[in-house]
Amino acid sequence: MEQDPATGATSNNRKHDPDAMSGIVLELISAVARDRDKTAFATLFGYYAPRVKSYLRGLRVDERQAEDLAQDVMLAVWRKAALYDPSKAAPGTWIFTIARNRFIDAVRRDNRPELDPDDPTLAPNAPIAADDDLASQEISLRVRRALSCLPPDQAQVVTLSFLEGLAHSAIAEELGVPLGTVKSRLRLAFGRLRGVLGDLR
Amino acid sequence: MSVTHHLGGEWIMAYASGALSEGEAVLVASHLSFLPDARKHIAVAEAMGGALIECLAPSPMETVALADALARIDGMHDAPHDPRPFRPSASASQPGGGHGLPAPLHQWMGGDLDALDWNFLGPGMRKATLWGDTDGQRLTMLRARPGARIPRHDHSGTELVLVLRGHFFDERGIFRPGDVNERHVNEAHAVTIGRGEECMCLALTHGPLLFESPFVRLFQRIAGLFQNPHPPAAGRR
Repeated sequence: MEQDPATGATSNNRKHDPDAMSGIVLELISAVARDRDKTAFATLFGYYAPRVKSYLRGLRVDERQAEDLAQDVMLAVWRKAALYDPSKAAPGTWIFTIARNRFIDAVRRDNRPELDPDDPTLAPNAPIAADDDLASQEISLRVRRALSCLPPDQAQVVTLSFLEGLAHSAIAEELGVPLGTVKSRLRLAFGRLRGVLGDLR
Repeated sequence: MSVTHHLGGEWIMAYASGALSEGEAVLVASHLSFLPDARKHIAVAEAMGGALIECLAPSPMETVALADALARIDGMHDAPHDPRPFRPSASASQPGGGHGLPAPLHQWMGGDLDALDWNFLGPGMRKATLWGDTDGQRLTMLRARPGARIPRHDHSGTELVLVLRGHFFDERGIFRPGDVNERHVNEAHAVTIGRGEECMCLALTHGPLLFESPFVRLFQRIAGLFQNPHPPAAGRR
């Protein structure tokens, strides 16, 4: 594959450098949205489909269904590319939410309510003000760094929560610690991540 | 509208991760819709999910996967927008207007409270079960007359009570619309409904209430007083 113009890294290295990926992925999504560019889509597919599949496998979805759902998620990326708003979420975050929702719909078959961004009852005094593309990319960058710096016991509960989809009680059982300990570790991790974003928001 | 008893960050993370049950997700989303910073908090938690998914080792897709996807794209009619997530109409989500329910709850259950199957819960109290699962979790709507009381009791599992209208109090203080009282095993309390107006709450329970008074326990068993409700016939809405 071609070289990354920004860093000169080969595509192989680039895979392991999500920070450098972000700008390129934004370009690809906008090419899909604007030009219905299938080559751009194929590149997104090559990068994200196997990661979405790993995510679903972690949630104990079987191989066959994980393959199908990963494909569904990527088709949703194709369909919804024009709705993607870089000011609200980094690409990986956006794709994570699509994959999570697909899992909830197709595997758990739950009818989950979403917070409606246009809900007038929500946050009359808190417009999502100074956000721009940069801010959402910066959030993603800082969250990634903060995650890698979490104490191991906090990182563990965050991982079990997101990547294995375990409820707090199931995490407590898995680790053999009291429910309150799981909750306080998660709360600390969340507080820490909010903390590193303090000046952004 | 100021929320003083709010759920901790661990609930926001669980909501963002998708690990909550349907009933928990309805209650948490309804609670968050009262908080000015909810969107930011969820964005942070979802960014964690995004960061984690980026760092996963890829699981190879089958060799034909991309070709299949491209073929499906060719067979697609480009729709201008996807129906998900559902947006309630503007009139339906006027604060306090009509149904007066938080938008996520209204979106999920519809706004017609009178259409619910209301049952006797205790003196001056009625309940309507909205959802239940095989784990024993129940999502219930509760309505209580001003001044009504729930005698001192403990809990068999985590209990979340979100106030939608009116207020109640226990030894932690006053709970007003948007506030959540989170209780666990070994956290007994007695609840008094505030004066003035009816109190309506959304409650997520896990197992029966454990009353201290043998008298109340007896009535709980023989007369269905404060019984943990059965799930709706269909198991879910």
